[in-house]
Amino acid sequence: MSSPTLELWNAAASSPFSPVIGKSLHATVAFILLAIGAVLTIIFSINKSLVLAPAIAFPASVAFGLGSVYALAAGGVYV
Amino acid sequence: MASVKPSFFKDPASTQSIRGILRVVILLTIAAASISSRLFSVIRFESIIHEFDPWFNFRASKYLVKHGFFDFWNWFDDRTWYPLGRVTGGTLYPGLMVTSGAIWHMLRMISLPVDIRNICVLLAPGFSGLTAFATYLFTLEMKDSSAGLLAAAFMGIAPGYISRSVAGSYDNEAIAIFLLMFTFYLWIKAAKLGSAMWGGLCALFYFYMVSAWGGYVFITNLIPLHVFVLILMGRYSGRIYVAYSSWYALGTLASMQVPFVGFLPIRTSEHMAALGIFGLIQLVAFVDYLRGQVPSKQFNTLLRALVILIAVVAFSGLVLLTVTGVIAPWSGRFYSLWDTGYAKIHIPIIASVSEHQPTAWPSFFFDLNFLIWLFPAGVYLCFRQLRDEHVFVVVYSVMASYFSGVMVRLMLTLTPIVCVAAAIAVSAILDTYLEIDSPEEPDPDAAETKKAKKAKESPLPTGGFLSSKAPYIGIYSITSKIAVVGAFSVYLVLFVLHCTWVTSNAYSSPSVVLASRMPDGSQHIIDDFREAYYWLRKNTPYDAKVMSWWDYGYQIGGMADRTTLVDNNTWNNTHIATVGKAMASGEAVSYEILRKHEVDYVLVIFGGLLGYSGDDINKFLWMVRIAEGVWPNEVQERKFFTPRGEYKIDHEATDTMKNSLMYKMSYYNYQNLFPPGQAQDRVRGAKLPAEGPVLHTLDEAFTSENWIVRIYKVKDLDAFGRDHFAARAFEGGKKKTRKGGLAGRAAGKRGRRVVRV
Amino acid sequence: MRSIRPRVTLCATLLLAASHLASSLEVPQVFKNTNLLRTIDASKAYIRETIAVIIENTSDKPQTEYYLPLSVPGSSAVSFVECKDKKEGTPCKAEPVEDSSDYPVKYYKITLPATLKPKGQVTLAISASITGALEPIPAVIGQSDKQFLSYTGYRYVPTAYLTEKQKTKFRAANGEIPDYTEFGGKDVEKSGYTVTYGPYDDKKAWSSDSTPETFTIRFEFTMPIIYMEKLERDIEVSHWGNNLAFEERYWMTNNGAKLRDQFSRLTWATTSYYNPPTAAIKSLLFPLRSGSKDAYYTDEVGNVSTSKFRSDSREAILDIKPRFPIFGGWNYSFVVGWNNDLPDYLRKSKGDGYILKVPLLQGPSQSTSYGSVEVRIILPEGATDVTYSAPFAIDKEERSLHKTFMDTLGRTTIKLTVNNVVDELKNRDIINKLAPEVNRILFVKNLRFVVPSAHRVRTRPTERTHLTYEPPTNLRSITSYQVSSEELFDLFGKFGPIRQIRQGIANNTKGTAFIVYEEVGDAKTACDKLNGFNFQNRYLVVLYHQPEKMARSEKDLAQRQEELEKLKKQHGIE
Repeated sequence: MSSPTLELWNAAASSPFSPVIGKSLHATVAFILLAIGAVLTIIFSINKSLVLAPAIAFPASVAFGLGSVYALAAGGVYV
Repeated sequence: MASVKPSFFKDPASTQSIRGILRVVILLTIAAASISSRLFSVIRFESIIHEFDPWFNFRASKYLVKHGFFDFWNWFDDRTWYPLGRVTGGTLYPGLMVTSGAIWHMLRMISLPVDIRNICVLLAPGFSGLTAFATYLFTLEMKDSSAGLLAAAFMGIAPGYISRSVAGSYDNEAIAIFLLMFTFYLWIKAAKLGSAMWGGLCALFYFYMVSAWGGYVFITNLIPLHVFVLILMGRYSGRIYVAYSSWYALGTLASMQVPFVGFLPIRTSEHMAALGIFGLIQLVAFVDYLRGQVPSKQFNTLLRALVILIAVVAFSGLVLLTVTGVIAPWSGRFYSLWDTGYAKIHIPIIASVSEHQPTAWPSFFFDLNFLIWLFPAGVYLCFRQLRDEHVFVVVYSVMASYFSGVMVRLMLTLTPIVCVAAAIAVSAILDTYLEIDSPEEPDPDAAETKKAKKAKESPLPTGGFLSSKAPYIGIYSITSKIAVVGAFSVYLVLFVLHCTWVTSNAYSSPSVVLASRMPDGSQHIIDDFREAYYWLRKNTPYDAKVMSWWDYGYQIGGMADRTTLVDNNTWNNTHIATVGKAMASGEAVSYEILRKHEVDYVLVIFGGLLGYSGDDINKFLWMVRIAEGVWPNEVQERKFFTPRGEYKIDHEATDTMKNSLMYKMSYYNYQNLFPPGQAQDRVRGAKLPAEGPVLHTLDEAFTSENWIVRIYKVKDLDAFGRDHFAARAFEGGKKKTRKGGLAGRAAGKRGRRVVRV
Repeated sequence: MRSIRPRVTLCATLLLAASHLASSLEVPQVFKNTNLLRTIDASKAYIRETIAVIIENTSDKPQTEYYLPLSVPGSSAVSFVECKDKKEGTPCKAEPVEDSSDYPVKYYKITLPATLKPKGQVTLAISASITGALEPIPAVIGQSDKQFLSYTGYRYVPTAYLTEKQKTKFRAANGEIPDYTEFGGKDVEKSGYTVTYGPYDDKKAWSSDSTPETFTIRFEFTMPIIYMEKLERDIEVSHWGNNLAFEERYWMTNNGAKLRDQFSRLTWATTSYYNPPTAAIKSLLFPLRSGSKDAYYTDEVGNVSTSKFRSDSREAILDIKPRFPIFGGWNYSFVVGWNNDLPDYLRKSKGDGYILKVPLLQGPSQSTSYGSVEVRIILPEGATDVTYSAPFAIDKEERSLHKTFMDTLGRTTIKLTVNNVVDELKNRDIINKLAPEVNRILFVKNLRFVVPSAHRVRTRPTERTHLTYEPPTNLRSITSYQVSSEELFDLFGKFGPIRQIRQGIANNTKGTAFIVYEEVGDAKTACDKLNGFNFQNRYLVVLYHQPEKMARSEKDLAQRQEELEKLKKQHGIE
């Protein structure tokens, strides 16, 4: 059963899927991101102001979000 | 930012917010600690539901999630209590299942489709974090936030609470203790502020509590008691009136919406105290109003007459209603709270549950460690201040101390107040001894004026007692400071160690699986229960009826998914006694019972091979007693004891014992596992007779790997219409008749010869 | 023997009745079969029928379509058919003829790899797997009794054309064959594991009008008949987690002879010390691809602690033990799952998109048949334009969105359903290609599944394990060492069905043999058990066949030989 897709597969032998972050780093990355999120949240909650929102609150949300994705992955739930 | 920084830490507003954040962080850490200390069993074993009752709750939660709330509400379960069935929707406290169902739906909404089993397993640890928070709020009202944080930390890890809230112990208590504390907090808040809103909130959480746990009666009686004591102390005020009336009216109406509770709040004795106090407080309010209108001399006469009249009317009304049966008398469980011997004589089924036994005194130390000796100190400190809320702590302490002594299970209600009182004590000590600046000079006058000022500020007359006894404030010697603080640090550290040890060793076993060690030290899991239940689930017809002692009813329903005759709900004593009778009687009687109830399989737990002591032979006497309670002529406990009054299973066992179905099923074929004559029961340490029991009406269907669970199939009626004894005798006969005949003849000969000699 | 005969007639009558219901398929008589060898292999829990036939075009026109009826008696069904030109090795297409399902035979149309000229000849090798054709007799046995299976088939191979010469070989699981139809002639021969019918000359094409003669063979079968009523297999791609997750949910039944009485733990416990062959399922061995990790084994009531998982750079094996032994007629359902690193399965295609290549079916190493297999391939959220090509015919394909953790739109999911599968189809792969269009990091387009040829799969070292045995003495010293292949089959066959045995006959290979097992697991047991075993007064050395190592040692040997010669020359020794 020679199939063009098999050839495609063989042709792509040199370019396996390369993940953004490897499995061994999930826990570390999750911890760092969540920690950044927590610290930024605390800073923001001490000194609440609209001016600081994009500078501190927004990165905090992003760090929390990505951090929880990798925390899930580190816990074995690969999303 | 840079320009703000120098003044940042000195600015009182920012110190305030830093403190607030610290408090939040500490509370979060406490919550995390209390959750993680409950995860031993998940890490050691797996995410599994523990024990017995949680299996029912889990099954009900699955039903709720699968079929929706209204089906759950109207759920008639025909797979338990065969052939009666159970109106499950109307006979359970739905709070727990609804909570986990709501969490399940909520997580699904934010696209986290967590399995319902994991929610159920982790619900108790999750709520323990909330309980710590509720305890913080409660203690905050008593003293200050440092006491609150201590109380939260104690509550988070106290073994007395952990025992009912480890991961997998998915029972009503899992959420009820949080609700208990939170309702009390709201009550204190309401009583302090005299606010109908807080009273209403309190009623709302009271309703939640009613829907979650039968122990709500504790709140139902404690709050009225608090009010009653306050009235007796002459502390009646408008605030109390508003708080109590709003709580009682709303709370009672709300609690009547739970089908299982229904009209109980106005018809049973347990709830009469709340109603009575509700009446009393109206009277007191009325009298209070009168006092304002009428001169004091006439008022006294009026008051006396009124009180006597109303007391007589109310009491005779109560007696009349109780006699006519409108108000139900106290239920058995409550009698056993007053008389610990009551249950053993009158209701063996309640006494047969180990958690209904009186508490042994070491368990106070085991479950509470150093908190138990700080507890009186904390209560004493409450006495010193004795504001309205402190009265509550005192009343709670007294009641809970008594009840926890009566029933092991009620240790759970004692734990929160012990944590609160101990935290008050510890924080008072630390407040005093952690003051870094020593007072310059003793100035009794200054102290006294300060106290006096405080006393004046207090709305209550506190008397000269306080000010005369507290001359100085402050400790002078650094050494004593270090000594006391050091000692308490050690106690605290020991407490943490003790809690961890107790949790890990005593409260983290799922009891569905047993852990043992292999010779090389690795863990070996004995999984007989699930092995047998899974066999039932996979290899018997879906509508097969399984008879077992009621302890295993919920597990069979949950894991084997088969119809059971009796289960841990124990609502029908006669039905349980029927099962007890079937187990305790000889085969002829039992078979009839089994046929009548269309039983297909009988399941017994037998620990003889492994030395598992929680088996059915050890529980057998309770079965006999419960059966005897219903059929005193047919089942008699004393027939199971040897003439010397011993409970034996070896060759000395009585004939009634040896012929009972339970004995036969437990030991059937067991002696063949050993060399002839050496069969040994490792639980009871007894040598078994060489001849094993013979079963006529049952077939062995399945026995688990370590013989813990044995399942027997009930034989169908004989194809030729014979009874099973005749059929068996006939089948075994061919060979035996001759032998038996010969033996008989030989015996006869010998007999004759003896006569001749 | 005697007991079998009435059954045979009964069977024939039934077949006759059935054959009258439908009219025969009209096949143009353009071929004849010059020589036909049918091998019916019953060493697995299903029938594997191989037909090697030389066909000749007897018409005057070139032909490409050849018809073949396969016998499917009773409730049996053909799982799959493969065909190839035996000399060239080129595969040819075999597809069922639709309206022939009512016959006791099922017709297949085979498209020849190349057009066959008049008078031209070609050799075809057709293999088919048939499930449900083996019946336990007696149907009910005691807990420690031997299990016997019975197979009923046609004495003459059903063909659509005249067959000049034909022979049928029946291979049982072991040498214990108590009953087989003898027809009173010399054409039946039993030797060792096999019963041979034929050769027969000039047999006409099969027709439903006449009553075909059948033979019945009853043989011992010491293994359970594992039947997965249903298998749900999820393959989930996670580009965030760099992970490929497999989860398989099995509903298993032992289709062997049912248990006569109830299960007795006493007997089971006392006999298990000396580990007798049993018809109960005691354990299942899942050979996974290397690099698999985090394996788990659970069932409806939670985790099962009796599993072993070993994973190293060469292989990964998950060995699970059900909660209780599964006897004939008993059911069990369970879940196994494991993870793999994604880069081994996913590649970035040249140009655009990605390609995913995953095995469509794995499963236990014991011979297994499946009622229905549902494979769900869950691709990342936002994957579009997915196409696939499957290694074998897919009965049903569904596409949907699957919503799981942290999803907003749902993941593209392809559900492929195949009915009536046998484990022969294991480990065949799928490749997917994806195009550029991003709303998450990975974009999926034009997914296609590619299957490597069956041949390639079979040569994977874990698929067949070669065992060699050799005496511990120097190879050259054992010239007069004789062992018959029957004896080898007897010895090595105890551990499982053997595909092939090759004995060394050349001078330097004498005393060695290659044993090729159907199953890796069996080979492992044999290797463990027989290494050092005293066989005909010699100690066996049993090793896995590792071609690279062998090559190296050969080189070694040659080198040493050279050195020896040198030394000899040096010292003047002849």
